[in-house]
Amino acid sequence: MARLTINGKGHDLDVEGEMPLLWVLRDELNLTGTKFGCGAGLCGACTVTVDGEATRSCITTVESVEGTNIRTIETLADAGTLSAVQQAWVEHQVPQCGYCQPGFIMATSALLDQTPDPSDDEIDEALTNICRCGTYERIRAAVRRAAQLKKSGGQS
Amino acid sequence: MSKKRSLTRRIFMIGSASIAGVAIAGVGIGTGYLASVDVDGLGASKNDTGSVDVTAWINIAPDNKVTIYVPFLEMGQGTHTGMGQLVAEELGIDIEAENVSVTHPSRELSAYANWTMFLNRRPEEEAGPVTWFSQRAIAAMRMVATGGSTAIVGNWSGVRQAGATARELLKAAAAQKLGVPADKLSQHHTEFSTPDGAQIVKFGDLAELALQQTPPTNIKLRGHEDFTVIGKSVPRLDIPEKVRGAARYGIDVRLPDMVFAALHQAPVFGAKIKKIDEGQARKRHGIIDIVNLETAVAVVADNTWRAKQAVEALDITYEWPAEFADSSKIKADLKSRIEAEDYTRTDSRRDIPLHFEQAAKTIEAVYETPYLAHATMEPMNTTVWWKEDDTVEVWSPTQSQTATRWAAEAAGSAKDVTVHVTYAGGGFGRRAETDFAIYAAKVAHALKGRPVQVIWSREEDMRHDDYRPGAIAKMSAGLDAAGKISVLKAEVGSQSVFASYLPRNLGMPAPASQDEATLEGILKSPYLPPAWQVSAVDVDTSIPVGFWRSVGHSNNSFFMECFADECATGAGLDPAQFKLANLPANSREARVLKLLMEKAGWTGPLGNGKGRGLAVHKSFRSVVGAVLDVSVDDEKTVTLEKAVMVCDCGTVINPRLVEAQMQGGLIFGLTAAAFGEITVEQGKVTQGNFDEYEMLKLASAPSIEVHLMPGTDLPGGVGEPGTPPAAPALANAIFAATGERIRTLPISKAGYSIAEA
Ligand code: FES
Ligand code: FES
Repeated sequence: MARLTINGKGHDLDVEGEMPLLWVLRDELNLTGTKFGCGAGLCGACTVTVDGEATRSCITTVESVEGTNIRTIETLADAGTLSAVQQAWVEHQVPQCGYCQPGFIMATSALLDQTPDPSDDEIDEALTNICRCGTYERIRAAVRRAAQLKKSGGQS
Repeated sequence: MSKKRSLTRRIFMIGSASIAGVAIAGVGIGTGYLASVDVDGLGASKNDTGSVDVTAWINIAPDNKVTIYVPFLEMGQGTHTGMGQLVAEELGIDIEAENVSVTHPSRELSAYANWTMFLNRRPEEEAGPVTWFSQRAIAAMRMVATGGSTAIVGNWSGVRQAGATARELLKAAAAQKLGVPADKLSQHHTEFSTPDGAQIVKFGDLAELALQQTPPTNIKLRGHEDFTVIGKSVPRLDIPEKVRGAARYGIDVRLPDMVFAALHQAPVFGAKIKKIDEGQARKRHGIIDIVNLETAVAVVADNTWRAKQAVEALDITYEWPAEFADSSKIKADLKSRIEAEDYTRTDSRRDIPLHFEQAAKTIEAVYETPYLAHATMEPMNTTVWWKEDDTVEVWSPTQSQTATRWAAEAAGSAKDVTVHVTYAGGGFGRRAETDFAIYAAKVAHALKGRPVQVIWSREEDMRHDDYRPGAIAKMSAGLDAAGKISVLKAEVGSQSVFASYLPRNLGMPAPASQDEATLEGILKSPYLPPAWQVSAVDVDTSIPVGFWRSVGHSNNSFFMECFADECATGAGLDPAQFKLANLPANSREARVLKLLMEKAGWTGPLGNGKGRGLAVHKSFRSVVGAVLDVSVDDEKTVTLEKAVMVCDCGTVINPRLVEAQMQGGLIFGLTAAAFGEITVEQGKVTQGNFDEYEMLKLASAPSIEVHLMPGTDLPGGVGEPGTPPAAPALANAIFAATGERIRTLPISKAGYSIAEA
């Protein structure tokens, strides 16, 4: 048994402690916005935030995140209104297949919460996710735009 | 029906060289039957939900919702938006409006058959009886498929025609309903109004009545000057749900009582499962079943992770094949066959030896490229619900809807198989295969009554891909005193993609002669002087190869555009000037090159450890050129600084979408050129995950500026043509920076690495 707080809601789960968080989200809770890409911490498709830190859920065991606040892409939009990062992603038309994008969006959200005005190097360091469709040019532009939107008082 | 299908399946072939074969199949089916096939799909019909299909492409519901059917897999290329724009243009609707959406139809209709891809012919090309029979034979089989950058190319005229027909049917219905002549009505999005504006009627109230109207003939389609949707950067329709994490990919299908399966395939190509020692596996938490699939084992569980843990715990013995494939041996084989001139096909014009003798200078170089994996971001998966009554539903991110249905039908005594095509997390040709659907159908059959999702791990995906074949090319040229190419000889060795794909996926024989994929991009190259020879050698191996974004062009652009650079060096000329001098002045390639030189500010060498590389290549009816700037330090670390691209894809449907495809295509090609290599030893693929098969990341990606050539020619493809210029531009740039000529990919083999910013 494990008790997890996900998107502000408590869940009692009948899962092994060593099960990666990713599979609890996807298969037990049907939160399929968090994606499986590599299962080895290499691609970032499975990124969620744990107490505000971008975390690769495929290599994060359930037992290691009990008692934390886990957030997934599903509740990033507040009552239907897109977050600043999501808005910027739409404005810059970032996604192609879109499969990697929840991971990028979660990693960017965590970055901007901690570093509201990141330098190029800080962006590079924070966003080590893989986008096989090659949307990097627009991602960089969208991160900048999201920082701007957040500063000008948009949603988080 | 089923008899007809098996007949056609036997004779059906793919590839432009096989049109005659398909036509013969068509004659076999019978002219009368084929004439009755609804290839245009312009009629209207009511369907069981109460909504009306006004043509095969448009559905209108009583609540005034318009759904555009796009029978092409949305895998990132933007086809749902681009195709939707074609419909919206003529239907006269606002595609961004709330009540308009696009969906992939589950029904396979003849009108959706992608004969443009299978025949490599577009509808606007001159059509004789051979094309008529071929087109209709493929339509009769309803071959719904996505690939070859053909969605827009194959439907540019037909889908706009459908939009216009639907508009006229609805307008005629409105006229009848309002008692006003049709030409007096005005249309605003999805409603018509009378001249005084007093009476308004919506599409939703007209659809049924539209059924009773006679489809008009001779509709005049809008000209370029009147376009309001085509040519506009309409935001992608799928982006809002994709940024919310709400878009459903194959891997996100969830059904009541659904279970999950992990796969372990025999690790050696051609090997089979001999024995499974289950040990305690069945007793593990959540395990439901273990299924032997002959070439793989599936463990079914209530959770993907549990299934994966259990499949890894099995003790499996294999039946090994007689021979173990080895990628370095394949290379050696291809090399010696080229040396022995053991060609599977060869074309030439004029006396080649004589022209070499007369040349002022001769240049020769041998290039090598590796096998490559697709590595789509979403690993292979399919969900199948094989119900107790043998009706079957399949949810799959597939480029081959019809072949997937056949695969499910073949997995047991299925009746009535429906394939629902989901979003795909990348495709790049990998999802033209049916292997992932076959495994899923077999597991579901064994599990009858319960939906099951079969997911491949990244390692399974990487080690059981259908790879881009590696290739070797021996290139020779003679230059005249003025530095013009007077004779060109290309000898290319590579595994045949069609010979691998057709038997594996469609149960068809391999083509009798080596397919053109091996030589595409060379055979009709505008660089070919009057004297030329283009030859191919093949190799027989158990490594499965398939279609990888831009297929043969991905190899051949590297050979051609690097070799042209080497010839320029040999002639002591600037590469851009040399290429311009050797391309026919009126060729699309020359026009793209000129614009590219202007946009990139091409003024010759950069100096100071910096270099710029140039490549222009035509593929899938579009010409794309790229100039890449790099800097290289003493440690051979390459910084990808900036790329400028020019794309001539004829009429542009959605500029921002084309820009994205160019950028993505270039990154795809740069990734491969920088790191990509699949090696096979003892029949096994060495690489397993992204640590061993690396991807370019944000920190290393160059900025990419894209310019679109304005034009009103028929639209060309955009999903693939951005990839071919990448590798040669990179190798040429490194040469310009360092003087070292890279002839073997990836560049890491020559000790180069990519800088992270
Ligand atoms: S799936 Fe977790 S990092 Fe790739
Ligand atoms: S958008 Fe397809 S992997 Fe990033």
